[in-house]
Amino acid sequence: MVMNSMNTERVKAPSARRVDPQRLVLGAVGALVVVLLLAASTYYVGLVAVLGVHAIVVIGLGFLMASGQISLGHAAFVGLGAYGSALLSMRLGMPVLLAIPCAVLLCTLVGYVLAKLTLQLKGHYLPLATLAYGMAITVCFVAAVDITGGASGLTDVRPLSVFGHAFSTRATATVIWVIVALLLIGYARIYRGRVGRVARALRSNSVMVGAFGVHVPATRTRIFVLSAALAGLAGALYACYMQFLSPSTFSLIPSVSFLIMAVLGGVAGPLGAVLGAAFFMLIELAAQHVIARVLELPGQVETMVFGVLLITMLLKWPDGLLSLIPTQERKPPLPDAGTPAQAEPSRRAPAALAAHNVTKKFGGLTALSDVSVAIPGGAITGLIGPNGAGKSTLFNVLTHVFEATSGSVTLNGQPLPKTSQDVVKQGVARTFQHVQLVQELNVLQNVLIGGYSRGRAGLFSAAFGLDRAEEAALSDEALVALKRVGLLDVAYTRVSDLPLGSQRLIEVARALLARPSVLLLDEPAAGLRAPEKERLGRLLQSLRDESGMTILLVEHDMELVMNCADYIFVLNFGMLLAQGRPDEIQRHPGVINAYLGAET
Amino acid sequence: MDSSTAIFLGLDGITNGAVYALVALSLVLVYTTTRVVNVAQGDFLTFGALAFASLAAGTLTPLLYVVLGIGAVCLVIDLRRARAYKRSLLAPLVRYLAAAIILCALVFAASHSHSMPLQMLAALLLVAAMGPLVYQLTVEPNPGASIVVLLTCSVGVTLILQPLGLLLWGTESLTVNPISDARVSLGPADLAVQSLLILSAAVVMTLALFVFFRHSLYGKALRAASINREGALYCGVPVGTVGRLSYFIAAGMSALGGMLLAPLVTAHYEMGFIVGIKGFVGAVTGGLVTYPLSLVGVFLVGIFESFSAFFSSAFRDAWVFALVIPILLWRNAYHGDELDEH
Amino acid sequence: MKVSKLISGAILMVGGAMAQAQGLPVFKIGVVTASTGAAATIAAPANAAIELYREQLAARKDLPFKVEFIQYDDASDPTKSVNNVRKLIQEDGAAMIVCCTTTPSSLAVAKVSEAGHVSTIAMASGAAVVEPPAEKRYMFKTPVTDRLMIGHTLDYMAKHGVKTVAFLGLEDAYGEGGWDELKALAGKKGIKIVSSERFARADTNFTPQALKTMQAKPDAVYIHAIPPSASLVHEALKRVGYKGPIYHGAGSATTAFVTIGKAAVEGAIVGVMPITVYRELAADNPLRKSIGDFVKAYDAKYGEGKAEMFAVQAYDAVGLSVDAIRRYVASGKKGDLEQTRKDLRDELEKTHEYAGAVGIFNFTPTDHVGLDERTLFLTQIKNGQFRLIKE
Repeated sequence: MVMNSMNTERVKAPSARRVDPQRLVLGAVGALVVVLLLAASTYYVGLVAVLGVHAIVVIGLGFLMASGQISLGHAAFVGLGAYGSALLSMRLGMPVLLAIPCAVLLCTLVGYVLAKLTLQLKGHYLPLATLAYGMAITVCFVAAVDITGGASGLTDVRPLSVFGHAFSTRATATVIWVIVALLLIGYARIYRGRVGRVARALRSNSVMVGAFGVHVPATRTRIFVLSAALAGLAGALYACYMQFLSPSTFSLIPSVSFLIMAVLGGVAGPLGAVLGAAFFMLIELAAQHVIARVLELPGQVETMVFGVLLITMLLKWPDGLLSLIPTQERKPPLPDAGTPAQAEPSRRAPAALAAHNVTKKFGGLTALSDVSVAIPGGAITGLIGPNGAGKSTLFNVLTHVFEATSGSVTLNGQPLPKTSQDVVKQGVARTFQHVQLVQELNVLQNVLIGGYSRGRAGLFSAAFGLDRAEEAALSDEALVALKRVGLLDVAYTRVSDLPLGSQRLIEVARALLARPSVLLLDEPAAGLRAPEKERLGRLLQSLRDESGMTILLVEHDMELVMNCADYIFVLNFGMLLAQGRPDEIQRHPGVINAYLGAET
Repeated sequence: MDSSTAIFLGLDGITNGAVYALVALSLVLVYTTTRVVNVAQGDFLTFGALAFASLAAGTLTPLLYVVLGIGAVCLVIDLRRARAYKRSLLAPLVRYLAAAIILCALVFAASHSHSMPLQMLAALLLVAAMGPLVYQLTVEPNPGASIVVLLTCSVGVTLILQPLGLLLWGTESLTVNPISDARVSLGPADLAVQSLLILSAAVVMTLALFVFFRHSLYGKALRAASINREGALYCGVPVGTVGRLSYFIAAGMSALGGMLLAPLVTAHYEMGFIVGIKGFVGAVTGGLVTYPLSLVGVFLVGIFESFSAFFSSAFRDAWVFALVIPILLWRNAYHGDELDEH
Repeated sequence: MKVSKLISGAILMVGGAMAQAQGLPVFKIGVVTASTGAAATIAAPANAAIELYREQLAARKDLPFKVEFIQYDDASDPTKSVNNVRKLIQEDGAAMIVCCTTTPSSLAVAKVSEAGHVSTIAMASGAAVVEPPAEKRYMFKTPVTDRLMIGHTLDYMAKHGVKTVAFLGLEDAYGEGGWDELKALAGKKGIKIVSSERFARADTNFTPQALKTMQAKPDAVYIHAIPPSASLVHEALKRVGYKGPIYHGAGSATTAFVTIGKAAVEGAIVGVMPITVYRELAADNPLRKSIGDFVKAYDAKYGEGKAEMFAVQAYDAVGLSVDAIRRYVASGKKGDLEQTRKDLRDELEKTHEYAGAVGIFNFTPTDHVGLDERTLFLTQIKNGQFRLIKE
């Protein structure tokens, strides 16, 4: 105990490095942009303007990719925004400042429709779908000659103007970069916020986030639509800058270029988008200068250089340039070791989870046959049985991952809600047999995922900083939960650096954040060493004693079960074989025969 | 529209769909054995056509030097790996040298002879040889990467290969003699025998691949290698060789497609792109995993393309690409579970 | 080619250095072409012609000035064209610019050139590049406009009793230009357009469009494309049973058209620029000599029969620039870069009866195309050759 507090004391001291390297880079880029915008010739200003446009697209695309989706047709949205805004202002006489938001709205709608159609597609079908509609939209830009001017292009697009004064190239570029700056701030907040955390999890742990209240398809859709809207905004701004639109700017090759920029820069944060776009442009310019003028090689070599670069980055540094810059997250201070646990949830009312005559068939196989278990409230219950007995199936039925073929599950007498989102709202939280932690996030952020269902902040609340209070409260609670499981001192460590035992405890901490009245643990002892098992057992007992939590433990490890469980159910061949107190079970002849092993 | 027009368009659609077939089959082959969605497949078609055209014109195609050069790089990589694993250095050396000698001899002979089969064979082997080289340099370093990463890698490959084609052969269209000049009338439709040859090649390759993968042990081993790489390794399936072999065959098939197509539309540096994309659409109908459905898919694309070009030529490509989405949705609904990442 | 580029580049640099030493004024001409990207097919012969011109210019010792060429590739992307032209104007100090290969790129750079007061000679076919003259004072172009060529062709059609025409064109800027002009002019010549179909450069099948065209039963078909698709569409029309006359725009006026189309394109009526038929021109036509010289030099460098339309457009673009520089230097005017650029524009606009490889140029303040009926010819393919149609 003394060691613990000393550890906490040490970690509480501010770290030696005072300046965040990422902020340094950001500052340098920002300074360069400002200098160029103020002082350089129109040539450089033009480059900076286009860089800003690209950055806006890639900020949205990067977040999309961080959430595990990929778009090979994003240039089509840029085109929709560009043509939309240009045509609204030219053909309908709408002022440009109004045409731009309308174009963004158009992109949002189109993005929504396409998302609804395609986001249900799994695996690599989604990139192919984005490729397909991206190309279809580009073809339409060319084919609708009467509206868009076709392949010859749309001339005399109106620039940004206020009260009749048209913005110069320099002014337009400045507007673009003001927007980039705002987006960087907003997205940095989004990444740190409630939806941003689970977005990273959507990539590889979508079942887990579903169990904590995330509506996966809706979240994916929102992220996609936001990226489409951003691309549309970029397109509208591009139209104002260039004052000329040609469909080739919005075809497959630019879509691929945006993808390359996102990969180059990295998707772990919005800064990656700016870095990737800048790096891409630098290479283009350098290549043109070096390859075309100095080496006098044909321009094709430049594209080949990009190809080699893309492949090398993917193979060697798949997390992009951003991964090369060490990050220093702003960390809320850890609470004192001696402070009484704030935000300690009150004792729960004992919750009764029960399965009534549950049968579950998978095709011809009957996994569960007329099983009825009533899990006592406020106690630790064990569910044991040989492999194939149906433990996992029963577990999944109790958490509504599967629907029972017949029979029902009730929570406190009421039927269990239909969706996992509602289940967690009713106070049922779980851990997973294979640890489901998000590798990109640290321990604290992983734990915060558990509180998702209790929060309300969405993408916009996060972006505008309206979620401060909610996040702060949740953070406090998460730290308390970590203290509870004894992992407070590693709150900011990456989860991949921790041993399995600690990871399982993190899962428990995460589940605690859902303020459950029922905690379901799926083989938590698997892979743990003896001291870790003891720690887990003590934790469970303290949860039962101090918080009155109902705990169900599906386990193979007899030591853990017999030591902490108050009541045990034994399954065999899909049927309930026995139930009772641990000492009863240990003496039960049927159980001994089937499972524990008789002494001969 | 009267019935004879409809029949014409239908038959025309099928023969044109067949053009995309060999690329579609190559895509499926590569995907089922390596999990790579190879967007660069169309480039092999281009190279096959152009290499064939060069040889037919009597010139020693510069592609030979490129292949030899990259082959040398790959040889070095293989030698270093052999040294790291303390295996014989002689084996890879002999393999590469033998391949280089055969290629040089064939290409040399083909450029100096007038025999079309020889020229086709030389061009086919030359382009097919590019397959394993590409695999070794872009997939082998990280074969377990996610599908999305592998797809993006193949985008990088096409960024290299397309301009390379432009560099090697320039922008001119090269004419190539067809295997047969004859034309045949099927009802109201007038079809080139060359088109029918393409159609037959497509059908034959589909059957061959289908039978091989479904019913032979080797085929199953190849599929196993992509589904669970480590498991296949432990079963003794030479997973690395599998990848290289698949790419070899796939590049060869696409090259063949290019060589058969070139007489109809001339060989030029852009031909592979659009054929590749439409082959994609066809292959997607089979979910990128089955051969017969891919063949059906390309026919569907061809027919759809014919009819939409007839009714609204400006928007025909938009219709064809838009077709992909319902196909994907249908496949996802009925076969979606095969997509879960392992 | 790379080695010779290095050598000629070295010659130019040395020459430039020597020129500076000798006190000869150096003028920079910026060149932007679409060496990669969708328009690479058109830019390749243009680049070749510019390369030839550079060599010829470097070999001349009698000029009282030196020219330095700065070349960029815009990858057929108008955004890049704008960037490159800005760079040439603001960073590289170009006195004149030759840009761009495609109509969209040329339209995009117009604003920059006008704002930077640098004369820009485009190699694009769209008339919009130099219109309206009051707003495009610095934009010039060398190719014949589709307007002139199609107008000429329509006149011929009308004379031969054509009342209905069907259009088949590329779905890029080139094809669109043709369609716009046909739409605008056909009615005025009393010809009705009965169908309009489009196809892509790299398509593999043209039968559906050909079938639809034939079923519209036109008196004549007009194809506005470049080979290989121009030849293949023609072939497809014949195959689906169309028997009437087939006309082509200037894009088909290349040897590739015949090489690819072979026997199928016999009888095609193609609108051409003088380069295709210069051998059949009257002996006293100045184009006979200027084109003959070009073809001889070009074919000697790049191969027999390679000289064609896209090459001459670029050749004349640089030629007209250097000719303006020559007259400027001869006039004895001097000034800083900004003044020089304005004066060069004025000189360029005064170009009179310049016999280039495209045709005879006469620029005026309201006409920056500069070509007239002497540049328009109609030919018919006979035995694989373009034979002049005497009108």
